[in-house]
Amino acid sequence: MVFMCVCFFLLGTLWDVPLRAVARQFYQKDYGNHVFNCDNAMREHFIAKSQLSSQPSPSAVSFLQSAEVALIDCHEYDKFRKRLISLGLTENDLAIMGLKAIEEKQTDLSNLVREHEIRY
Amino acid sequence: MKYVISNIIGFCVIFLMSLPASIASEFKSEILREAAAKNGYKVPSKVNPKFDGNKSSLGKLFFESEKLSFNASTSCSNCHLDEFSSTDGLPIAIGIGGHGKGLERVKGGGAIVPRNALPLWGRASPDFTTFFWDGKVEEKDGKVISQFGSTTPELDAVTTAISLPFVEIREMVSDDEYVKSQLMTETTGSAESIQKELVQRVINEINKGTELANAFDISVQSLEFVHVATSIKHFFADKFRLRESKFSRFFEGQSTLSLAEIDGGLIFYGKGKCSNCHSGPHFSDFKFHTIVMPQFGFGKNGFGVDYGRFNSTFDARDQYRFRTPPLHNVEKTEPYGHSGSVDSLRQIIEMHYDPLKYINTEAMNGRERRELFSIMARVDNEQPIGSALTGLELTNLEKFLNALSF
Repeated sequence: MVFMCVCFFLLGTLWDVPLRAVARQFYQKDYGNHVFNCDNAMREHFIAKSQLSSQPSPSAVSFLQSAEVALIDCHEYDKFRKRLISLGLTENDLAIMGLKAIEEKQTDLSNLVREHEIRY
Repeated sequence: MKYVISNIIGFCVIFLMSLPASIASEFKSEILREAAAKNGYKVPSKVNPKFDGNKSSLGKLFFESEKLSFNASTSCSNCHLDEFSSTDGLPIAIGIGGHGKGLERVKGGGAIVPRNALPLWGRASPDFTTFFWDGKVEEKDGKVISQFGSTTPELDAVTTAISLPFVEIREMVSDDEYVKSQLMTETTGSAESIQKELVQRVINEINKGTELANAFDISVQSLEFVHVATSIKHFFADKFRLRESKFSRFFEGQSTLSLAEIDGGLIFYGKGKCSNCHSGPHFSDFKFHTIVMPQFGFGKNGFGVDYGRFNSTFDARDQYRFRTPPLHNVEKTEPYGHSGSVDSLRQIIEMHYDPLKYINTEAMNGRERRELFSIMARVDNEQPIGSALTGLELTNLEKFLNALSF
C-alpha cells in the first residue's frame, strides 16, 4: 500500500520531468539562436546610442533607428520564451538552455585558444 | 445539421489559430511602416514628376534612334531594354559596335563600357540627384557638377546625365581617326561640336526639327541639344516613372504584405542596416560607399581596377567608393555591382556583410589580393555592416525586396 502511494506520489509530481527534458533538447537550437539574436540586438543598440551621443550626425541617427527596429529580435525572444513556459518548461529549464547556448560559443573560444596559444 | 455544426466549429478553430499570427503581423506592419516613413520612403505618386506627352513622344524617338550616335550605329535603347527592366542584363555594357540583346550582344563584339548598365526607374524625379556609379553628374547646393564643367548652367542634373552618353567614347561615339585627331581634346568644345551635329540630324535626317521646335515654342534655327535631352527627360518621366508596388500599397494601408515580407522589411530597416544607405524614395542616400566585391573585366582604370568615385573627384578618400544603387525593381536587374560581378540578389545581399564567402583568395595572385586589401581598407568606421543573416532571414529579405517591384 505504502509502495503504491509512493509510486502515485512520484508519478503525480515527476511526470513532466522526461517531457521537459525532451522539450529542452528539441528547442535548444532555436532558443540559442533567439538568445544570440537578442544579445546582438541589445549590443548594437547600445553602440548606436553611444555613437549618437559621442558623434552626433545624420548617419548616427540612422544607425540608432535601425538598431531600434532590430530590437524586435528581443521581442521575438520574449515570445519564444513565453511559448516554452506555456509548454511546461520552467524558468530553471530556460536558464539551463541559456547557459548551454553560451557554452556553444565557449567551445568555439577554447578551440581558438588551443589553435593559437603559445606553447613552451 | 451535424455537417453544418462541424463546419462552424472548424472555421472557429481556424480563426482562433490564425488570430495570434494576424495580431503579430499588424504589430510588425506598423513598425515597418513607421521605419519606412522615418527613412524617407514616399509612394510613387509623391515622387513622379509631371511630363509633356508631345515631348515624351519625341524623346522616345530620340531614345531609340541610332542616328543620334555620332559616328556609329547605337542608341540608348540598345542598352536599356524592357526585357531587362531597363538595363541590358549583362555584367558590363557593350556600347558602339554591339549587336543584339543579352548574351547575343556579348558574342556580337562591340566596345566594352566597363560598368554595369544602370536601370532608369525614377531617374526624372526631382529628388534623384546623383547619376552614374561614380556620381559623375550630381546636383549639389543647387548646382550641377559634371564633366561639362561650367558650360551647362541651364541644365538640371538629369538632363545633363542624359546628354553624356551621346558624347562618350565607346558608349555612343567611336574613337575613329577623325575623332582621335579632331575631337579627343581636354575641352568641352568637342562635346558641343558633336551635339550641334546631332541637332542637325534631328532636323535633316529624323525630320523632327519642326515638331521639336513647336514643342518648345521656338524656331527650328534656335534648336539646341538641350531640347533633345529635355525631350528624353520627359520620356523618362513617362516611361520610367515609379509605379505602385506591393510595398507602396502596403505603405498606404491599401493592402498587406505576407509575414515573410514584413519580417524581411524589418531586417531591411533593422539589423540588416540596409536602410542606412538604401534610404529615401529611391532607396538610395545618393552617397558613396565601399562594398567589398570582386571586379569583373578590365575595369574603368584598367587591369581589373576601378577606383569608382575617385575618377570623378580625384580625392584619394573616394577610391573604390560607388553610389548607393536605388532598389526599385532590383530583383529584375541582375547581375549586380558596378561591374556586374555578382549574379544573384541573395549573393549581393550577403556581400554586404560577408564578402569573403565569395572571394577565393587562394585563386588570386599577389597583385589581385593587394587590390582586394585596398578595397577592404576603404571600408571606414562610418559604414554600417549589417548582422549576419540566417538562410530564412535572407529569404525574407529577398521577398521584401521583391515587393518593391512593379
